[in-house]
Amino acid sequence: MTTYKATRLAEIKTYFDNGDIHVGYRRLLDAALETQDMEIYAHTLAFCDWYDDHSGQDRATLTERVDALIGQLDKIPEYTDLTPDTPRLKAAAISKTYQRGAFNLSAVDMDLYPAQIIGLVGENGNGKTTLLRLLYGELLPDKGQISYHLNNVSPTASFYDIKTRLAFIPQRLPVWYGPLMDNLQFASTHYGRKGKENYLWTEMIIARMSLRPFRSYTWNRISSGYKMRFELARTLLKKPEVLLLDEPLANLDVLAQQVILEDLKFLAGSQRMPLGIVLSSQQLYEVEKVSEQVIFLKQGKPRYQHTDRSRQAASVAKPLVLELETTASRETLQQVLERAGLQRISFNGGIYLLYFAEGTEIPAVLQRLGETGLPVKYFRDISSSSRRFFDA
Amino acid sequence: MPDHPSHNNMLQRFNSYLLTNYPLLWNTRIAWLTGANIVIHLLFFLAGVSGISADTLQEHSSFYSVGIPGLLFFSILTSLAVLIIWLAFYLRNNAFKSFYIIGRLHSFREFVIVLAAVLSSIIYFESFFWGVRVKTRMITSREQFVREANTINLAMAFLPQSKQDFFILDSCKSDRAPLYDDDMDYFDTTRHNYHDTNFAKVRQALKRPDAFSYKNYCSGFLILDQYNRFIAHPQWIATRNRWIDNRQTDSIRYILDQLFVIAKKYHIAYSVTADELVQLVFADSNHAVTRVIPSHSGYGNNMPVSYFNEYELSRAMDFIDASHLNSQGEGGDTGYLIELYVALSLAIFLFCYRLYSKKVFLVSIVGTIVWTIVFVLVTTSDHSAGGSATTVFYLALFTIFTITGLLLLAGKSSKTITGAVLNWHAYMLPFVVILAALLISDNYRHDHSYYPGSDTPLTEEDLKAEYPVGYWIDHHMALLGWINLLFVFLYVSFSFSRLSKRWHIMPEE
Repeated sequence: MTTYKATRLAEIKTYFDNGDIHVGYRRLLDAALETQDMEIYAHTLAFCDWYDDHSGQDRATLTERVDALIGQLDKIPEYTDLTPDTPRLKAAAISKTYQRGAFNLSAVDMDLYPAQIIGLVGENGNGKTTLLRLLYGELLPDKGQISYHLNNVSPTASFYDIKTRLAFIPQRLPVWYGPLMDNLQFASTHYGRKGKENYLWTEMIIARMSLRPFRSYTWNRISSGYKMRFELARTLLKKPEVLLLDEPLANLDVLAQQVILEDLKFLAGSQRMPLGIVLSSQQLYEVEKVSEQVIFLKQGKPRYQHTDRSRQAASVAKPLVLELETTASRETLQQVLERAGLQRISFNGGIYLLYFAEGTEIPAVLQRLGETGLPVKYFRDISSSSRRFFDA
Repeated sequence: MPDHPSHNNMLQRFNSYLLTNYPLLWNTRIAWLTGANIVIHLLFFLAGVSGISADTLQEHSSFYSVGIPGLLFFSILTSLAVLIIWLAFYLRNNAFKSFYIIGRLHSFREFVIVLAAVLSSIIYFESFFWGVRVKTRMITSREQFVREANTINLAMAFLPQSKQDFFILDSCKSDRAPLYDDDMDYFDTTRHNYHDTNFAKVRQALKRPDAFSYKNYCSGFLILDQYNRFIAHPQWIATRNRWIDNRQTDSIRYILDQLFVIAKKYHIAYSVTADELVQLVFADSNHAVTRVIPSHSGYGNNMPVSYFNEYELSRAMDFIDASHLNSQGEGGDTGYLIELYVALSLAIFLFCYRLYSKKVFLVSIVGTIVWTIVFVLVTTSDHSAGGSATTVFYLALFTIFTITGLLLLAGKSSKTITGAVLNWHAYMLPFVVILAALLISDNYRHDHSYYPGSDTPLTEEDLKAEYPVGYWIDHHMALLGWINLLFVFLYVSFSFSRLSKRWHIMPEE
């Protein structure tokens, strides 16, 4: 039987073999981090030192070193998590009304499981940050209840103790002082990692977050993308069970957004340290790529959308909804696609939203478009996307 | 392998060791601050040691006048510089605000460290004074000082500097003896008080041949009852009288020579010889003081030939006396107590900044300024209330803040206001017990010090029996000060920090 570990190591090997070195490197660090073995950490960090200096020039030695490290990782016994799959965070019909403003966040329900990512989307001022602050205990809900069921915190613990295992990264990142490495080691020491173990842990997280060149840097010397990475690194050192992120993709370039989201996906799915993540963003499609569930907030009212990755994804058939950018007129589109089952068109000035009858398949639509030769600039299936909730 | 392989020098490795093993010690930078403070205290101590010599003892009336001018100001400036630099490092990280895992005694330990850091950084001038003390003790040991004091007391009986000290009625025999004034003409019948009883007594005494005898002198130059081997005045008076009666001129000459040795040691200005003074003792058959030796050389043409600057000698001896006292002077250890209260108040201030948000701290500061203005207004209009309105206002304000803070905290409402009120409660705390005690003490002294309906003050025994609480407080203020200090320290370390933790996890409305 192929184990999870074997699959994972084989996947890493394939990345390197195919020349996808950067992603292979990150996944290799993920696998090493997962072991929580200090000897593996020491070897991995030695590999990182070499990688930083030589990886671009000496492909043969890289393969040799990767194989050696994978060999060592293979010797570590597989970890089996026997804890029941229960929600770490449960919010039942929580609502919040601001006294001074007219804003009202109405009855939001949420069950956040370990290794699950829930995306919060919606336009500005629709309650995303309010919801995250409620979940973190920074705001008092007017109604409803929030409960936390964390593995490392006793049920009788104070809320301070609960917060030691919750992490909230706000959109406006808090300033830190002094060198980055000192700050991370300081956090690490408070979580029981002393002496050499502290150094190895911190260095591993730094490597994983691609912060190695910035170890001695201070706040004002690094870009906002790396500040976000620093916050993530500091958060990971806390071994949180719930991670709440407010607009983590803001101020990041497209590539950095993809890397952060991929990292979050892998971090959440860790076997030893599974994380439940709630992240808010304006980047709808990017969030949907990694989330099991998306909560769309409009004027404080939630609408829930399970994505394809959802463990609760309904198997019921959904009507086809497409996004289409074309220079063709609305009338032409109506005429061309009517025969493919088009029922309704909405237009926001740039992109058409096309709503089809239940049972309509994409190939049929593509075929019609191909036959008529309509100029298509952009095309996307949004049948399972909360994009449908945005007004066209 | 070190905790951080790139740290090769010892200081870096030590820092890294603290960071990865004792994060609170690392965060508070207490090791570095202690090191810096040891060096600074040592420099101040050395400055104190080098600031004084036997020659210059007579120039100083107190420790504050030794060394560079404005030493206290310089010490405060140094304290400010050290504290600001320390804070720049200390305030970088905050495990409590970051919701890191902290031990149960974390707040207690942090407060102890903050208090120690603040205290050790605000008392550099004490090291200077200790330097002065130690050097003075090296110049004149305790035993030597007593020997010198005994010599001076006996020798000054043969060095008349004022006729008043040698007047027969001022000879320590009676407390109610009328004083003699050299500038007064007691035989002037036109004086309005010519017939006054005391004037008559003085006139009567002045007619006696021994009115200003050397044998009348008894006041002594120095009184050091708290020192062992100090010769009290009955003994040296007996010696003096024996020497005069037996005409032991060699003994008198010897003690005067010893006085001049002391005067030379301390660079005391004088121009008089032992022979000259011995001659004066026996110039009159009744050993009357026939000539006074002034304390300074005089000015212009009236320059006296002989003089002895007793003021300089007095200053030098008082300075040595103060150096041998372990406390800070006549006020006992009040100075140390005040320093501790200043340190405690600053530490509480800093601790609040560490425990509460910047917004709360800012609100509490602005509020404190407002309360202070109101407080000053109450103080200035306090005369009509017998001086107690200020204290009552302070205590009332503290009670209101305490009750309001606890109620708001229990009701989980208005986080910022709750934090600010708790901060005000903490800022005021150190002085509550002391002010309450002062209020009781004042009230007891003003209203109950006299027998009812009379001007006769109550005796100590009656006071103690009638008003035991007020009496006890009045006589144990310093002890109360120390007990309160301990109480405030423990309260802030444990109870207040727990309240702050509750505030910290409190959600906003």
